Amino acid sequence: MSKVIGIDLGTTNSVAAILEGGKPVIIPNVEGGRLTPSVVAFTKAGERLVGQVAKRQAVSNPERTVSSIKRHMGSAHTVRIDGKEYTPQEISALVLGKIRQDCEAYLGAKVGKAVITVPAYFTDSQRQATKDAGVIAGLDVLRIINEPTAAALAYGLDKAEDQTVLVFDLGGGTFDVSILELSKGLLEVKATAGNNRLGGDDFDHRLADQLAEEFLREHRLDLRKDNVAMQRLLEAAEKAKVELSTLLTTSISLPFIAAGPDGPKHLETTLSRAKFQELTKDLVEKAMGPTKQALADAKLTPQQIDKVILVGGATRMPAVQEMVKNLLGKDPYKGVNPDEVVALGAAIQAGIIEGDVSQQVVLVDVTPLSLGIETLGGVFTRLIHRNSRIPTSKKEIFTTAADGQTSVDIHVLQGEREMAGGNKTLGRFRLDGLAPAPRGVPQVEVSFDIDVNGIVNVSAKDLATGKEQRVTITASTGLDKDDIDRLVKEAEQHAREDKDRREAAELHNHADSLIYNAEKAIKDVGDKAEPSQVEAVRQEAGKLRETLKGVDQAAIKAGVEALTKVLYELTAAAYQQSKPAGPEGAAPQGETVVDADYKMEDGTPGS
Amino acid sequence: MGELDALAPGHPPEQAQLEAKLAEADALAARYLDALRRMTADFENYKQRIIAEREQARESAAADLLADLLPVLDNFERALQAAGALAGPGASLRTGVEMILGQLTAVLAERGLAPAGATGDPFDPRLHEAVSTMPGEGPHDTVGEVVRRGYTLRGKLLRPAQVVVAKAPQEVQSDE
Repeated sequence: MSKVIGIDLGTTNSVAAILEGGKPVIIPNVEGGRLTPSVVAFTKAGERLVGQVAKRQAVSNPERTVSSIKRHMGSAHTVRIDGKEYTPQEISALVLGKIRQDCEAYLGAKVGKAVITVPAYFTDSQRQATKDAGVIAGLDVLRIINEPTAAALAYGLDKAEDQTVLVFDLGGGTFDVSILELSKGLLEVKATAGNNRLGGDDFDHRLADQLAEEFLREHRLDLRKDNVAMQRLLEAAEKAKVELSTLLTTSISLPFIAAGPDGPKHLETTLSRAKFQELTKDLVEKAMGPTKQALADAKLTPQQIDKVILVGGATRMPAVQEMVKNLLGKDPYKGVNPDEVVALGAAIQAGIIEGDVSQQVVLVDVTPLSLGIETLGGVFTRLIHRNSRIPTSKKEIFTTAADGQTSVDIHVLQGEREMAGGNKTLGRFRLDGLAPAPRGVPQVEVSFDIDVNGIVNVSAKDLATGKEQRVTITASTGLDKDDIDRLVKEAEQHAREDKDRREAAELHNHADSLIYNAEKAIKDVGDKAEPSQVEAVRQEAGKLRETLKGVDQAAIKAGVEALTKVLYELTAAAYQQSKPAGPEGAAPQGETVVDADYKMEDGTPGS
Repeated sequence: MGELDALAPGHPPEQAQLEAKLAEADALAARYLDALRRMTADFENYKQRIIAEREQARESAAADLLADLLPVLDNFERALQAAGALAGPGASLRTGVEMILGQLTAVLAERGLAPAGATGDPFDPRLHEAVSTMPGEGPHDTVGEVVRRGYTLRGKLLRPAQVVVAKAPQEVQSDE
C-alpha cells in the first residue's frame, strides 16, 4: 500500500511530511535532518549526490553542482554537466527522488504519491514543470498547491469561517507575501508580491560584515581576506541571530580568529538585540514594500486582513514580527514551526485528497474520564488516563499494606480528582484468599480493559495463587458531555487542595512504611549493631508513630527524616558486619512493585 | 444459489433488494477490513519506528552535548597551534595544555568520538565539507588541508571536517 507525502520543494531547502493518525509530521532524511538542501551534484566518476552531501562539495566542484534550480523552473534554461544537458525538471527530480527514497526508508513502505507546493506566483508552465519533476522522480503528483495555501491548511484555516489571510514568507533567500481569501472552505489567492533576493542569509552576512569591520578597526587585520576566518564568523553570526530571537543580548566568542605580527588575535564581543536590529533595519524594511504592494493589488486595507501567518525561519526574528504587527495592526499567528509549516500543510492536503481512511470508517473514541482504584490513604491511583484512545488495557501490580493481610478491596473509580472520595464509584469487589505474608510481599495484578463500546472489565489476580476476581462496568453510565466537562472543571478547581491531600496521604504512607521497615530492621539486624543505635531507631520510630496520629505535615516530615537518618546508620553498621543476604528482604518492594498499597482491611491480622 | 433461483420468480423485487443490501454490506465489510489492515500495518510500522527513534533519541542526547563541545575542542587546538613557537616557560605551559587536551580527547574517544578527515585522505563529501580549493597532484581530489577537524560518533558523522580540497590536475581531460 503506497503512502502519500507532502513536499515543500524549496529554493534552498526542501521538506517532506506525512499525515499520520490525522496529524502531519515531518519525515527526516537519512542523514537525520529535517531539511534537505535542494542541491544536486555529479562527481567526476558520474555519481549523483543530492542534499547535504552535494552542498558540502559545492566549493570544490562548482561546475558540476547545481543549486537554487527552482529559480529556473518552467524556463528553457538548462544545466550542462559533462556534456549532458539537464532541464530544471530533471534536476528537481533528483531532489524529489532523494526525498522519496528517504521517506520510504523512514516509513518502511513504498511512497508513490505526493502533493508538491509551489509559490503562489508560479505560472502554469512553472507548475507543469514542477509536476513533471515529480513524475520523473517516480511520483504520482496528486496536486500542485500554493505554498501560502499549504501554510493556511497547516493552521487549519480551511475549517474556519470566511476570511482574508495574509501569508508572510521570509525564507533563507527569498521573500514572498500572499493574500488569500477563504470562502466556503476554499482558499483563493488574491495577490502576491515579493523579493526573490531577500532572506535570512542576508542578516547573517550583514552581521558578519559588521564584525569584520570592527575587527579591522581594532586590529588592522581584515578577516574578509581569510576564507576560514570568514566561515567561522558567518557561523557565529547566524548563531547570534538565532539567539537574539529569544535573548536580549548574546556574546560572540571566536578565540584565535587571526594571527597578527604581535601574536594571536581573538574576537570577543557582546551584541544586543537592539544593536542587531539597528544593523539590519533596512533589510526588515525591504519586506515592507512588497507587503504594501500585495495589499494594494488585492485592493484591501490592513484592517481588512483577518489573519496573518508567518512562514520561513527568518520570521522568528522579533523585528520582523514587529514590522508585520505594526503594518497590519494585528499579532501574527504562531504555533507551527515556520520552517515546516508548508510541508505540513502539503501533507494535510494529501490526506484530504486521499480521504483519511481512519476517519471515514473507524471513529476513534476516547475515555472521557480517568479510571483507577483507591489505594492506601484514600488516594485515587489512575490506571487509564482521560482521553486515552479505546479499546485499551492496562495492568499494574499492587501489594498489601499490612502483615498477614489476606484480602484486598478493589474500589473502582472514575474521575479527575486526586482523592478517591472526590470521584465516582463504578464498582467494588474483594479478592480474598491471599496467603498470609509480610506487607509488601504479595503481588496483586490489577488489570483494566476497556472495549470499543466503553465497557470496562476490571480484574484482580493474586500472582502467588492465581486466584482472580473480576467485575464488568459500563464506564460512561449516565454521563453526557456537560457532566464530563463539569467533572473536569471541578477537578481543576480543586487541584490545589487535592494535591495537598494526596501529598499528605502519600507522606503518611511513606512514614508508615518507614516505621514498619525500621521495626523489621531491628528484628533482622539489630543484634549486629550497637545497642545505642538500635535504641535510637526504636525511639525515633516511636516518636514518628505518635506524630502520625496528628496532621502536622511538617512534624511528620521531620520525623521521617530523623528516622531515616538513624535507620540508615543502623543498617549501614549492620551491613558492614555482614554483607550477604541483606537487601533480599526488601526486594519485592523494589522496582516491580508499584508503591501504592491497599487500604488496610478491617480486622486483618496485624492491623 | 440454486434455491434462491427457485424462489426468484415469486419474489423478484425482494431478491433484488436483498442482493443490493448484501452487495452493500459486502462492500462495507471489505472497506472495513481494508481499513483495519492498513491501520494494523501502519501501527506495526509506527511501533517499530518508535523503538528505533527511542534508541536514536538516547544517542542524540549524547550527540548534542558532544556537538556543542566540538567548538571548544577546536579552540583548544587553535590555542596550541598559536603557542607552537613558544620557548622557555611558555613551552612548558604549552606542554601542560597539550596534556589537558590529550585528557579531554581521551575521555571523548572513550564515548565513541573519533576524528574524521586528515590531510591526504581522498575527498569525500560524506565526511568533508569543502571550504576552498588548492592545486594538487594526485589522480583524485584529496584533502589538502584540514581547517576544522570533523568528528564521527560511533561511526555516524557528527560534524564534517572543513577542508581545503587539493584538486587533481588536468581534470578536464580525466572526464570521459
